[in-house]
Amino acid sequence: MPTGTGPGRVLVAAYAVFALAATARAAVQISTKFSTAPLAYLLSALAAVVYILATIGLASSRPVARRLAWTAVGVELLGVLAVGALSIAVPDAFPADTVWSGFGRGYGFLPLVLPVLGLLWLRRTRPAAP
Amino acid sequence: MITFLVVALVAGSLLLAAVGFLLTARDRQPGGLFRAAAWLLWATMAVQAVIVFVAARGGPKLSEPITFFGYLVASLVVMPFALRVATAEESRWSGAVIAVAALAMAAMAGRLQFLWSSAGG
Repeated sequence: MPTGTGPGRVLVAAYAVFALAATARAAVQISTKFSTAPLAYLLSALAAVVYILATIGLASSRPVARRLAWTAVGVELLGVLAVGALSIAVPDAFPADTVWSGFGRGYGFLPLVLPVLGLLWLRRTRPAAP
Repeated sequence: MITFLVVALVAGSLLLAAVGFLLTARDRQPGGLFRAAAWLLWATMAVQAVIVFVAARGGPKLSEPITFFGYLVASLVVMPFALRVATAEESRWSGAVIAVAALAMAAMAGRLQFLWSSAGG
């Protein structure tokens, strides 16, 4: 079953919104105040790329897209967990907010919920083993 | 920002999102009325954007103009895109797709209001 159909369309829509938001935010941060917090803003850019790749991977029905989606959504989950934990453990290292700071607190914790839903959906739609 | 338009936008977005999720939950496809409501919400946002754009010239100085106008543009892009996605595959999930876009619009309307009101007079 392709990932971009049925309930997957809602997931793709949510990912597309995050891809747009994260890309715009990273672009603004990097173009206007990159030097104030380079690490945080590079993480913002990484998050933006991950969301774009996850959107493409989930929306497309080609076999290669499924692998792309697995990778992107997996990296997303690791990213939000790592950055979320680090931003709380060593707040000084994250002077500026990223999408993933505080486990996505600034975005209603959706950055934490989305990858879990994404992985569940990818598993659910997995093609039957040959 | 016109305050009553902001209130109308946030309330309208949340209402549209609730109806959208309800349609999905009840296994119904969005009808013409629902689509019209989504476009009405978009049109309200567009009116707000024009007013804000005019007012921003020579108005209060925004502390983060690029972010502000970014949100303004994004808030106008999301709904037409969602309507296209929802129409491309008509299913019970179309309502939820539009609901996601409506929630995003509510969030962005709120952020716009915040950025606008925090601008120095």
